[in-house]
Amino acid sequence: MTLTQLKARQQARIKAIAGPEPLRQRLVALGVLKGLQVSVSATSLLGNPRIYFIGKQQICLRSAEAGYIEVELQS
Amino acid sequence: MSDARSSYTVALIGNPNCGKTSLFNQLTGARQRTGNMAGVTVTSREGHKTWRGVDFHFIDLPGIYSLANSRVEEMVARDYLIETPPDLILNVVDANNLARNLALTSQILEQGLPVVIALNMLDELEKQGDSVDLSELSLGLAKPVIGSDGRSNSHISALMDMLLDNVDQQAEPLLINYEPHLEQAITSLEHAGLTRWQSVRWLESAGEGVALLSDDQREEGHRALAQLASRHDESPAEMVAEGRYGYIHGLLHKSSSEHQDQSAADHWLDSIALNRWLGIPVFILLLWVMFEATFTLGSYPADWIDAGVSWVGQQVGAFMPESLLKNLLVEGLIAGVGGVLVFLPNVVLLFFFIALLEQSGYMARAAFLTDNLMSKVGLHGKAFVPLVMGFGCNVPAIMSARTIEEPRARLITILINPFMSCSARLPVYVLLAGIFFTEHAGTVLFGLYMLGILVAFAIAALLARTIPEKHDEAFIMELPPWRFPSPRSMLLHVWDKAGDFLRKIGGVILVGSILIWLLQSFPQQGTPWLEQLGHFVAPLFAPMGFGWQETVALLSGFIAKEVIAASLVVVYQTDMNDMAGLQAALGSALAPASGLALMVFTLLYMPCLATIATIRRETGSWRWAGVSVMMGLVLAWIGAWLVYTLASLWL
Repeated sequence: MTLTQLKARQQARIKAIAGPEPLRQRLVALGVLKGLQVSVSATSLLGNPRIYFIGKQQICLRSAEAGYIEVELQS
Repeated sequence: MSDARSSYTVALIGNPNCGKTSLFNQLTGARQRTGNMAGVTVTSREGHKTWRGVDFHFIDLPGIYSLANSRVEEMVARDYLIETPPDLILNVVDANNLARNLALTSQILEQGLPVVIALNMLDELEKQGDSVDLSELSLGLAKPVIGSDGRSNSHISALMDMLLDNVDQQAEPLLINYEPHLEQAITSLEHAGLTRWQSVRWLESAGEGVALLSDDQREEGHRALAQLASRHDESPAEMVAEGRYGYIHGLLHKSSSEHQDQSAADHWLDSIALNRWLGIPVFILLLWVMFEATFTLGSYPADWIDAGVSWVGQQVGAFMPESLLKNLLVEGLIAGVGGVLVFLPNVVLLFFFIALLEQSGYMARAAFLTDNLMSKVGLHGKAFVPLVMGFGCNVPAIMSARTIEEPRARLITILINPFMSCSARLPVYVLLAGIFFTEHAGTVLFGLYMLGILVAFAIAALLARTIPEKHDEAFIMELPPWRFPSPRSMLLHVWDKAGDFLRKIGGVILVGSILIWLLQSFPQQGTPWLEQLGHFVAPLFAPMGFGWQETVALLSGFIAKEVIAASLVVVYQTDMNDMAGLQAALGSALAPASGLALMVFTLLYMPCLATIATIRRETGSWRWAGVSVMMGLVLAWIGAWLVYTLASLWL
């Protein structure tokens, strides 16, 4: 599943990051890396964009970008 | 140190929101702003400090996450380090997000540059119950590390001593062990004549970020990238990052205690500010409170200034013999300048609130809340900062649109900025709303700002449909933690803005007032020139119920919007040269509907000279400046006429 499918209060881990090269570089620079724990922090009124806890930071992403981030649920 | 020099250059580098600019201000005493939003510092700033007889020249580079990305700020920093390497780098590191901040540090260390590390915001970290062992970290990095705090000056002398001790630091490039395939690629690039750090940089930026390569080197570089791509799904950027973070985690394992998540207070604030249903109402409420407070709190000191100005006017009136000079002083200068000076408290309050939004971290949250709406009109959340800054002054606001990379979104942000009602227009509203809508002045004020925003969005939507789209820039934004703004930096900021306002009063407004008075007083027999001009243009404004006085005031506002208020004071020369007199005169000359229309016209009509010049500079053509002027005039006329017509029915 991708980050966009993650529901509130679910915990997941980043499995892979796809997408165009500039986007991947941008995410890496912000410290969005494989293996990090993610959860949903906030959802805007219309559901897009959302804010995610990624590692220890909060990052705001639109669905277009979040859709490139593959995650796996954690129990 | 045989060749001891007397001056050194130190560059400040760090992630956005790491407190770098606050530290820069402390070091140099320069009066600048720290924004809590990524990329407020786009161009580098410079300052000086003399310490123990040595002159330090400080450069505040833009906040960046990496030296390998191809964004504007990053290229500025990267080119600076290569083209004019400083004697020493002061790397400011946010202790609350050590790993990511140290990723940038590791890039600097790989490049073999001399570095001192300032571990910033340790107090926040300690509040969370975490700690960092500075000496252990220093040992691991093999660089001096010192604790710092943008809110107190206590550590500055220790930091300056540390800089002084390190001006001749001999730096060895850091060597990080990367994944074997990556190492292979690095080795092949080294064989082609690149240094190790250049090879790493080439790979992590996928063929950018390294300048001046020969054709052979370039070819070898692309071959290495192609080979990596065939062996791995991950991008080289990710692979390099894994190596960096591996190195960093090894370091922190020894020096840093494990981190907790967001603090309870932050969590609570975010649960309200970012709440799906409450977020936007809270945002609108905050804006309303801001404008209401700007009006009501500002009115007390405004009354004192008003009393002071009238007193001065009366004294001059009583002691000077009757002459043209006396008239110039009392009716032109004191009335005009005093008429605008009265609004100093309102303007200062408005800037105070904007700085509060920015420094507390709310601005980035508001960008999140408004992103969806913004995306409907071809913008994104990032355009939000220039728009809110426009409430202060359109000139820096338009310049701050540089942070938006996508050319179309940037152009739209620039063109709609003048509709964000700047603080220069505030005096006109405060004056008129105080006369015609005494009971609901704050609400009228809020309504005007909202109208400005609505018009801005409508125009943005229109422009988005006419200007061809280029690639859409991704909206990725880090949310800074909530921060209690430091009283010191807030005070500096407000002091700075008050100074700007006073300088403007002493310059443009002074000259404008004298000019208006001259045109008003000559020729001494017959109709004054100003009145003739007013009558000539007035038919254009008659549909809104404006007299020649308002017409003249609006014409003069082209120089600077504050001049509108000054002109009204001068043309409505009342016997009493105080606000009450003007209010009475205006109140009897204008219908409330016309008063409202005058405010709307002031809100929407063409930008002031300085803004037009800025639009021209930032868009690179007179064409867009012209579009902005025409758009403003047409919209203002239609808007004011509509408001006048509708309000006449109700009021």
